[in-house]
Amino acid sequence: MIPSPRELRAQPAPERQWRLCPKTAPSAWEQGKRRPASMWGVGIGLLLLALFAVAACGRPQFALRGWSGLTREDDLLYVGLGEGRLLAVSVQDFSQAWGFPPQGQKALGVVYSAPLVTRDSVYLAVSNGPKTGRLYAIQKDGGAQDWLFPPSGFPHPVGTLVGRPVAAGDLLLIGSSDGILYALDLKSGELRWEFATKDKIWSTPTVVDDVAYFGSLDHGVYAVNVADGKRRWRFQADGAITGTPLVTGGRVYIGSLARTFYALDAASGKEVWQRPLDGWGWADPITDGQALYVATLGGTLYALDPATGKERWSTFLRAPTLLPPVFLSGFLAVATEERLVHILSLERGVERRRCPLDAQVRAPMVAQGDLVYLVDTKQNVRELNTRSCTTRTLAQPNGK
Amino acid sequence: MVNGLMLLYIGLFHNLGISILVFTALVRLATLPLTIRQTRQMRGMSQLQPRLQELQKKYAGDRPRISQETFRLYKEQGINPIGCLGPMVIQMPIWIGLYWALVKLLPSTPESLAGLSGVLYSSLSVVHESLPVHSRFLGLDLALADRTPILPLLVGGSMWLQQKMTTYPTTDPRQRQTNTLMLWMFPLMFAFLTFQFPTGLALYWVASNVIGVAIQYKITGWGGLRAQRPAAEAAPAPTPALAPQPVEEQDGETERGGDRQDRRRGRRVGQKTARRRTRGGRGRGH
Repeated sequence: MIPSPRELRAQPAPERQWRLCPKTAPSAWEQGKRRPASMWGVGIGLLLLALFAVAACGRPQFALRGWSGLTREDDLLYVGLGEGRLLAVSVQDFSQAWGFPPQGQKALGVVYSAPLVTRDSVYLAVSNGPKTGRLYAIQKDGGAQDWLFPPSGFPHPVGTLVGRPVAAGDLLLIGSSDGILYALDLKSGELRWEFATKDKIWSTPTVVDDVAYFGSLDHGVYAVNVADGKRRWRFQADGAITGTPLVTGGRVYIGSLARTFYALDAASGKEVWQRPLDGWGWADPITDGQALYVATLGGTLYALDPATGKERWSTFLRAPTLLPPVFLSGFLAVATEERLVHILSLERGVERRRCPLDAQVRAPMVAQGDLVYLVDTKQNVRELNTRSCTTRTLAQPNGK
Repeated sequence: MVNGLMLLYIGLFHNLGISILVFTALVRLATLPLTIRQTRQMRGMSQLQPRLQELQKKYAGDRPRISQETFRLYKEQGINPIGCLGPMVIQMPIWIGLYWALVKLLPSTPESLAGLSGVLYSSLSVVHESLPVHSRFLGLDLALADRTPILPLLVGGSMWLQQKMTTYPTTDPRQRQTNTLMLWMFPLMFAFLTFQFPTGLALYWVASNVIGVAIQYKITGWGGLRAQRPAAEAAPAPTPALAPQPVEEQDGETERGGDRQDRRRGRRVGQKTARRRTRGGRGRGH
């Protein structure tokens, strides 16, 4: 016979047999006042937690970080810190001559390139948002701001600025992530002309004989007249171009993200030769007049014959490199993502020593004799002695 | 997943939006057997409502016993009460993978583009030659979050529709509470998250929900979208007699074996009533 509900309630619950103290009052659950924690609720809570964790982790991926850059002139290093400050630091006594913006003021944005230094001014390209950039002209003497581009009322926002500004006569050229190469008046910052491509310009233009050569992520290598911004030629590469073209001996040398290195005729843009690389040709090629030196994201440093593109030697560095090597006295110094600076011989690329760092270097270095000046990803400005592999800190984050 | 998306992108006219839609269809196709199984289980749950209602009546007030009997019933019928969460849990790693794939594939910064070089297969030259990936689709930038309410509404609305179709009215108050939670909380949450995540991920969610609605419709029709009352009232299933039938509800025309005893009881009651009346009448007749 099936017991009635009243009879069922009168029966002792299984849990009560386990209670040590029989006088303990029945739990709220047993009284039916509260429901036990539901596995549904736990599952839902875990799902929520996972989704919000993904959301929280997602934000930094879209944030600009920057990788700084520095330029040396005389005894001063002009450092564009990735956090958005410009410092003028003496290499003699490491004292800070001035900083922009002044201490206590908010940083400008994110810096990806080295400052341009002319006779009277220093120009710093900054990305002050995920889609916008600004170019500051700062007086060399004292660090006061001269002008700002784009000015207020400019018809459209300017994209992020990754490449370095370049001086061409009385003009300043800079490429932007909105795909436009801007030509500004050096003194006033007034826009003289624009040249549009189909994708971001992260390359720094090279100016030779009043012609600006640069690359774009639309796979194009361009030659543009500096005087009026008219296109001379365009070369269609297999991959996107991020590096600065090397223009020498009537040829334009540049690597692409399609793992190909090109030599083009500077006058016509026709391909002279091309050769494959083991990885992306991100960094700028350099030359000492004898050979071309190309570092790749595949971790190899090549020495190529400029006339034919044939490989003279190559050295596998085991880690990608984002920046070009620099010339020392008879050697090459190249920094990799492994936090090492490799010192190689020029003749055969034999590694002489390896200098460890405590952070990666992504901004181009500046060499002076056996000394190399660099800014690491922790925003420390350092002087590296490539003979002894010792470093000295010239400046630290927040302009200290 | 990055390389897979890149190959789809290259094969589908260098259009990332179409690649994401095709990817969504492939994922739903791969999880189709699980989805069908779960959908059928949920339909089975709705058909158990009459029996669940009987359990509620039988053990009214004894919540532990109700839960115990409910889960026993589910087990007998082979139904998993958290079945509706199954497809969602399965899709979680896909969402996360797609999110990271989109972040890597649509770099907005130089460092993230450079980082992509270590992720792509070096043997596929065509992949490297196709960079950077163009992120525009139907006026949207798939790399960035959509600041307009259109996509969040689409994501939330399609998710609500799918949830509604899979949610059947129930008499169990706890189940009802959970259903309400699932019906409103997840769509609202995902609609909010659409403001944070890349538009490409939102596109995946919308497409996945639309395909889910189509699958659901094919298997169960509109399901919970059309159901107005608990299934117990709409289509009562035959149940064994658990308690004696009250006398007033007896139908004299149909005679079943189990009712004979009840009719005898009813005659005895009627006789008692008749005797009482007779006694009272005789007494008062003087």
